[in-house]
Amino acid sequence: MKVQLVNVINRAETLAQDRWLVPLNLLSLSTYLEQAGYEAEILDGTHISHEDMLGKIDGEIVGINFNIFSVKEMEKVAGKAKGNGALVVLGGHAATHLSRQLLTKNKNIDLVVRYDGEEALRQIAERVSTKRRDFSRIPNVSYRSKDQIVEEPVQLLDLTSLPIPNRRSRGINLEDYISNFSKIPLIGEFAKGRRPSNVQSIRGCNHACSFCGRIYKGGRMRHPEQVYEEDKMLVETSGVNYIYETADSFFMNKPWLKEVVEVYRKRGRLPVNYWALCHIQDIDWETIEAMKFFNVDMVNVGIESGNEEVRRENGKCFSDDEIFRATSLLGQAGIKLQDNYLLGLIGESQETIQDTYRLAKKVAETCQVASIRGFHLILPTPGSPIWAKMMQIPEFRAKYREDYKFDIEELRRDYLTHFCNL
Amino acid sequence: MSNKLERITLREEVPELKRERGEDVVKYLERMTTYMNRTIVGLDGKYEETLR
Repeated sequence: MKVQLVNVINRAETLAQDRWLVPLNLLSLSTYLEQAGYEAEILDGTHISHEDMLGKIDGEIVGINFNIFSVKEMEKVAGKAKGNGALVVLGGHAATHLSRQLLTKNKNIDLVVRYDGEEALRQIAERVSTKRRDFSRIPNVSYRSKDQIVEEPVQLLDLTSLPIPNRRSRGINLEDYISNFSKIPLIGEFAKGRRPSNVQSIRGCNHACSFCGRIYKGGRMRHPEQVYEEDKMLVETSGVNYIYETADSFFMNKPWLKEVVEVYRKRGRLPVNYWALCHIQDIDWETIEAMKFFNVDMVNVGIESGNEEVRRENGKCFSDDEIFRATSLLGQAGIKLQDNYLLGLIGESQETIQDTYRLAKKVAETCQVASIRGFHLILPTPGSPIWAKMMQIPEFRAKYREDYKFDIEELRRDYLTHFCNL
Repeated sequence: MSNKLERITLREEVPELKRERGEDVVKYLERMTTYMNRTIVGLDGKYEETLR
């Protein structure tokens, strides 16, 4: 029995700079399924065209990951799969938050898996392979039953129970991903000699930023030995020498971090440099020492606003002094900062935009900033605190709550008009 | 002296960051992100397009 795992994207909204990142979410699912004896294939929309993808849909189970930009593409894939007689399963961040709307409005979708998908998908495959079409009592699954939507209870997995994602899963050619790194215009000379790949050692985050729709609250860690094994495998089997750690903050849990350091110390450091995401308040001498130990040469930090009050209002509870203390430490350690800012946070005004402009310039005086630092425009996504705030307003609730298709510009305008003072 | 200078720099206003009369709020913030990416990060419009 074949399970296809599809990453649908809207090419107009997907940046070329994402094309070197392997779809770890789908790889984790495919590896888990392969381990249980099922055939799994990945169709990644960042690497194949939508038309080619539609032509390849032939699985008995088709699992689809999408976001609010790629709804149309998701509907086409779901329609094609359903037409073939496949069981259509949606999963991932957007599907988790929109499960009821998806099942109510789109009859091509049979199931939605909320939160962790590995074990749920294995149980779904088991039932399909034994010709059972009853999906009750499978954790995290939502489905239609008569006129109702049933949501089975959520079970979050112990990350240490998951295998290392197999970068040689069917449909994935790691070299294709690696070669895309040097094609990012902004990376420029930085790409020279680097063979990168991404990993994720922690699922979830300890913070509650207003704009973030991530589904996992609190961090779940892989075992330090697994972290080492995965990095070692990338180095030894694929010649990777640059690892992007995509955990929301690799440095969030110091006791765990110490254990990881200890494993690397005992088993031998790897000939690899790292790039990692980090929360500004996690940067101190202790973590800087760990960064130096791991050869971290760049950290990705969300500063978001140059105005303390706006930051506080949006769940970024750190002061300007804390920012400059952290960036100065990075500067002293010779670690590059990739600082990111988000325009349109709750309470944003023309004055706070001026603050952000000035702060970003000042930050660059305290350390070496990366060429791919950037300013971004906010978007309320389902599951984020700002989405929840919007849904408290009857007009917006009526307009957005029952659907999964949104006019992105209108949604953004509604939010900005109501929550900012621009 | 240096503190005074720093405060003056911090208070300096950038006229390009102001919203124009009648400018749509989404278009305004799009213009702001482009402006900041161009002036602070060093992206120009053409360069941004090549990212896609």
